[in-house]
Amino acid sequence: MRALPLFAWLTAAAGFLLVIAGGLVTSTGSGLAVPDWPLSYGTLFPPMVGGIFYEHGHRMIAATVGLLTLALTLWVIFSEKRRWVRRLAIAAFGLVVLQGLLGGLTVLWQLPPQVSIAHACLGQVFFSTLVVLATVLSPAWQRTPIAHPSDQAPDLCRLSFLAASAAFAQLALGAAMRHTGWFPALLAAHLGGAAAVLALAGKTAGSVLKRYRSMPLLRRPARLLMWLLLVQILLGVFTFLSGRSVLLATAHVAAGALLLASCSVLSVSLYYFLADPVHPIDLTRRPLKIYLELTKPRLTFLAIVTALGGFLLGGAGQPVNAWKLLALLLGTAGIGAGAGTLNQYIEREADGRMERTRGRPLPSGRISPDSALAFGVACSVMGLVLLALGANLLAAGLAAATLVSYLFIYTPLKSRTTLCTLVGAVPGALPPLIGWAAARGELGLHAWPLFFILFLWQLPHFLAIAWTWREDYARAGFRMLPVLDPEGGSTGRQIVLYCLALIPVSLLPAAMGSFGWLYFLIALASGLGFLLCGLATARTRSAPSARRLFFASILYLPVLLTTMTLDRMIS
Amino acid sequence: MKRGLKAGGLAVMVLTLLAAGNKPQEAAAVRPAEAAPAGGATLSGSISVTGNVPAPTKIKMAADPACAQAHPDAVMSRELVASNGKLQNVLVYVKDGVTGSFPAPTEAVVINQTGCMYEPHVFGIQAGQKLEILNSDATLHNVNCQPKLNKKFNLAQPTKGMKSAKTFDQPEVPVPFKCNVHPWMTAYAGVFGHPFFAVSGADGAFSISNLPAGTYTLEAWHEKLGAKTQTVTIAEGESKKITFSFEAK
Repeated sequence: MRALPLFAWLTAAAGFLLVIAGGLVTSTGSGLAVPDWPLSYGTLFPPMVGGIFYEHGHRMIAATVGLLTLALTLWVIFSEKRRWVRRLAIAAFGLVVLQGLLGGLTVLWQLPPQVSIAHACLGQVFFSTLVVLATVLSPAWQRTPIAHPSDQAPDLCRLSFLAASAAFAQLALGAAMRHTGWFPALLAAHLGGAAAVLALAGKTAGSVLKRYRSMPLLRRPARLLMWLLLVQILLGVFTFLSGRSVLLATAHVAAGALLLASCSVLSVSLYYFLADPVHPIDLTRRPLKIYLELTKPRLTFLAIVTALGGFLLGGAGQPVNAWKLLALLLGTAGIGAGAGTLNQYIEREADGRMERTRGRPLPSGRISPDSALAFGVACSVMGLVLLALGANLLAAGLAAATLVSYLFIYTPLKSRTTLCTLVGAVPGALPPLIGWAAARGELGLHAWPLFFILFLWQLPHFLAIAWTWREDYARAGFRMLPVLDPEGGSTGRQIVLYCLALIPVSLLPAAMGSFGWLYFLIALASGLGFLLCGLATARTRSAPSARRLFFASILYLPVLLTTMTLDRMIS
Repeated sequence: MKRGLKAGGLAVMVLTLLAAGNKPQEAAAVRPAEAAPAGGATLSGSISVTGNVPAPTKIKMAADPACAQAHPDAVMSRELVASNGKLQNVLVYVKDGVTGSFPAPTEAVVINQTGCMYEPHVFGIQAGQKLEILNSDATLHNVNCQPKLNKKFNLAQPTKGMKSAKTFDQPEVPVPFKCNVHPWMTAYAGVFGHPFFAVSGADGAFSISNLPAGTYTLEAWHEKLGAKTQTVTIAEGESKKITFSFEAK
């Protein structure tokens, strides 16, 4: 091996020692053993006693790594022909300088958790950068030809990027746990994150080992990643069982650094060697957009907002538990994203037959069904774990009911019976109950009006959509009511019926004493307005009136929820 | 267009919901500054502990030879010290019921780092009173104090004989002290707006004197066993015996 790559690996190894030393400072609680910075007790070499051994040792290794990185960067700048590699080296140097300053701030500001967490995360990014730099400088990298790209290559590249992002998020959560404490919600998020990393990184490495076994530069990091996943999960379990033993917790941090580094190397290698010279994969063009599309972001957002509403109304009068709230929001996001993704996975063929949905990631072939399945399962599991551990089992049970009713009852019924709309409104109405359950741990009488309001509200909302797109639905073979009712008489009658039923149901909370007069009046007024739009649609059966009904439905819900909140604030 | 409407409406709703959920806490009432009435009542008594009190553990000081050399005999941990069912290092103080203002004494309270231990381990101090922090060891200490209400600090005391002075502005219990060089070193202070506090001795006894007549909430705080309160009414010049009982798990 030539001298430069060897030196790059040496710097990366020193960077690994630095991660371990930093981990030890946190594990032993020595972060403030030296109160001054950049000097230590006013000198360069204080006696290495007690906690000073860890804190000053960390500083000395850090200074060494800083100098090594500077030397490496200069060497690369003057000897390397590839511009992107020179830039990577400069980035590594910038990161180490920034990291040193951040380390100084942790001392001078006496370990505010945000700064400590940022220092931990940046340290991981810096180490991974060093490893990637050493990899791309190696002679083997420069000898290896670009592989013949296949159809599945872009998909695998994106999956690897997602896996590396998840590994980083997981490290950030771990850092938050180490610097703020083992709050149940954080622990839950970290466990959910472990499931997500296992699914995404495991799938990436598995695919690489299946398809690109002949390429050592892809095979090696993939195989290492597989082992690291196993080791890291075991270390995590042992760290938990030992109640944060210094040795195990630090080993967990170190293995996490190796995991992120091998994920990063694998991802960069995939993007580099599987690049299609004609249609290169552009990293800068929002590589995760496809995954965002899979999550049905607007429906997921609606679920999050209604869950938040249920949480705040259910927990009225009590102080908001921020960690529980975070677990609820992230958990609901996971359930929403998982449900959306798995629904598209199940309906990928039907979606391909509809104009409205033909462009979705699966029917358009922008992502493979396997990857979507892995992503959907990862999101759902993460959501369930988060809710179970961060909130309570009731909330998680309701979330599981949401997934099951949406994926295994509504989705198959869509092509069989017009009753599907009624069934489909159930999972849509469950999120406020999830929020309520998270706040209270039980579903009182006062929780149910929220469910029924959302249930009834969805029916005119979806019938208006189905009416607008009825020809499309017919092409896909979905037995929605407007498809079987081309005249629209029955659809109109049902819309009016649901709008009408919504009025007394929306007034129920006022009648039960949950809210006062303000809510009563505004709920009545907006219910009547919604009904008028429904009547207009039923009478004219025209496209513009259906669109107006759709807009009215979108307006109705925020107005109602805002009024509930305002009413609470006033009384 | 329709996406914008929907997202906008929902965002407004989220903001209102969040605003409703986070009503600010009411500010603590400010005590009126009246002249402090002179008092002659005394509250004294002892702190007992029942249950299974673990034996103090031996502190390992090998990480710093200077500390180990200072102790020919074994040093025991001070976080839970009891003898004959009497509990030491309990901070007893009047939590509620004191009216008037009490100027801070001019003499300083001293906390000494000696033999790599804090001396005293638990102490009371008035808000505004000077705290003198002394390093009597031939080694380095950092004095890491992270209260919740008062200003945090982390001092370097690298040499023997070094002194630093600090004051606390706000009443607060507890104010923890820690040395990160020698992780076994911990101490706790209680900061008060009045002089009616005491720390139980090796026999578990405490005494608070010069109290004006009145009805008071008395609290006993221990670093491991938590806090206990009781209400006491005392007449001018009266002496009352008080007992607190903690249970070790």
